Amino acid sequence: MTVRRIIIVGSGVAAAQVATRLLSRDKSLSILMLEAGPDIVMRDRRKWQDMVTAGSDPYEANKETDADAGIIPPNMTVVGMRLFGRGGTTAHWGGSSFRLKPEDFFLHTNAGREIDWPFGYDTLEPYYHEAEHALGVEGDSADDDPPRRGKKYPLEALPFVALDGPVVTAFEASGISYGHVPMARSSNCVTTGTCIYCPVGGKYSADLTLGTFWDEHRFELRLNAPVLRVLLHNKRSASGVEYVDTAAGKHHREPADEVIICAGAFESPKLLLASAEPRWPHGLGNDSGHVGIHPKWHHRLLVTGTLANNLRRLRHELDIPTLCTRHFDTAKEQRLGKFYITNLGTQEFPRPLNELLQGGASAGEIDALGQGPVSFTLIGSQEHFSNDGDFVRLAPGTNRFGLPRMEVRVTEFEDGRTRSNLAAAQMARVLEAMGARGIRTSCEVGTSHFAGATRMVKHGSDGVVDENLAIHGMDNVHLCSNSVFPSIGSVNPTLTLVALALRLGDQLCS
Amino acid sequence: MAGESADMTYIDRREALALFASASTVLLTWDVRAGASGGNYLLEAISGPLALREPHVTGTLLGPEREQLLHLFQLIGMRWDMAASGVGEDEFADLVDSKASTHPSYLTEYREAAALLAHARSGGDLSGSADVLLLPRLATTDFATTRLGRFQKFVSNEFMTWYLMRGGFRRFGYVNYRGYGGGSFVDHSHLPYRTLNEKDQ
Repeated sequence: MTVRRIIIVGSGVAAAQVATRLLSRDKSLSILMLEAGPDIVMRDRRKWQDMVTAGSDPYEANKETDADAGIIPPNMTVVGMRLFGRGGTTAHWGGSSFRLKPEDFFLHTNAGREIDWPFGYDTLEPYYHEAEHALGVEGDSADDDPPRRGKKYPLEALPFVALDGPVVTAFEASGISYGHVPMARSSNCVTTGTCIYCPVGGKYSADLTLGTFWDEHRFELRLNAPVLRVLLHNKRSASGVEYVDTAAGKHHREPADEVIICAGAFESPKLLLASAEPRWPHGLGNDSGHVGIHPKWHHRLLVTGTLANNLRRLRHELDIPTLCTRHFDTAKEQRLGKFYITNLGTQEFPRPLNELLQGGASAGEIDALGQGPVSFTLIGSQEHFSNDGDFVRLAPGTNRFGLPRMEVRVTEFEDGRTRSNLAAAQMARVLEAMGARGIRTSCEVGTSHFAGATRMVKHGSDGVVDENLAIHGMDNVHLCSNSVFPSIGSVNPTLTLVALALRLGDQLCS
Repeated sequence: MAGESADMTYIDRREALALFASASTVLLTWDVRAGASGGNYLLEAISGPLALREPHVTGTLLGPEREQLLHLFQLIGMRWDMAASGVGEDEFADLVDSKASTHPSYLTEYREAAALLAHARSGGDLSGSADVLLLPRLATTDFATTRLGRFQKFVSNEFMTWYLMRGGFRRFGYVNYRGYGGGSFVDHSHLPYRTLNEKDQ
């Protein structure tokens, strides 16, 4: 039997999910997965102990540094947001697993922004359902916005924490609909509240999926193996990739029948640009000049107010958000940009409880503080649109993982400040309805869910990949990362990315 | 682990409270007693960077050293009235063993801390010294680099956080806390946190 060899670039959630689908559906293929970073040691008791007692970062070895990331705008947080290593960024993600809504697929038609997806919600809906099972999402199966068509989440929604009470009351008084935050949690979860580094694997992370391949002889993962370029037979066909073994300092060429780039929102367009050669002089798939442009992301809005007292000593006893509203995540909001709100909860007293102990407060003083004035924070995630002139591109030098450094330019879209102000004002009204005073707002610009720099379009003149995630003008190079999103709505894109990965796996096996 | 923890001795709650109550005068004088070098023992500056000493040296604490650290842990529980919250001492011993025996090792810091605590106890004033040992000296210049500053950074402050998160939080009215495994959420009839529709548990 002829073995079809597939190289997957990256080992994050998209890579893991497309690999698991391919391995389960096609016995005639083998997969070589190349990951730029080292291992990410998960569920390590000592790492967890150091994190909770000393505040150390369990992922320090898997993050780029300010010095080596590249040229990043000072108001944009990139360093520390993404992880390089086995399993990628889902090792430290929060786990919120929202579906996009049907109108998100038609942003241009509805609001004249960006470009429509080449297919609608109905195409992705079956894969959303599979993705929820792949990630072990808990959620409210009765919530039919967006439509679920009777399909249930694998786990029931976490009941709202007591801390959500004042916010629920304010939502109801303000006529704002609300619901549960769907979260990727497994039945292993024992609610330690240390989800950023779960000690028991109770939160989905891609390493869990990769761990299921341990006895799969058709699968190999190489770490410390940044891919430098895609190699070509001819303009339409890739022959493999070139990567460097950073531990040994040796370059290697690996042949492939198919290359799937799952390298994330920044590295995927960078790899296409780095693969420029005479047949693709501006970078793979970049004859139309769309690689690296149209970046979009989410603004993070934090609105905080102070309640006069907290007699029930409410605090977030899960450290997983349970309450959200998608009331402003509707077609009506699309022109300015959608946003959704979650309840981040109370700030602990004036300082975290352990710091009060360390500062010498007595138990009685802490009791009094615990029932006294408390600040309460809502967090908003706001859709941001791309601007002409924004880009991600290669910069000279390499980072600590052997990948090219990058240059990023992002600017506020024309109505962006107006949208942020309106969204913050809406969040402030919720806090006012709770009786909060001293309300203050902060906006973290362009910090999360970067996407769109190799967007998916019907025609190659408008973007980079087609509706099947193949690079326009090529037969055997596919992209599966947030970079293919034509638009991102207001919610965490991970579930949509997993749905795309599963769909890609099916298409490659068909 | 259980066999090892048998080396540890435990102080009685009444004993500790009595010592707390009677020791303030001793405390004020204890930390300014001359150390071996003739200077202020607790506030003596320790040379070197403010990082773990000898993190590559792993090993197991001796029984008396472990006993001193457990004694400190118990004092923390009593200082903040958390002793009744059911924090497991076996779990504490496990934490100490883990940090001493794996890289980056706390073994040297723990041994220095045990010596400091033994020094205090030899004067008969350890429990009374709790505040002197546990609270920061905001007025002291370069406090972080002193013997006491290092003791607090690498030992007592971490023990406080551990005590709090492994059950001490209950003293302050909470049902679950960051770092505490409250239990599964799958069985909604026994949720490990206060919910919107419940009265406080």
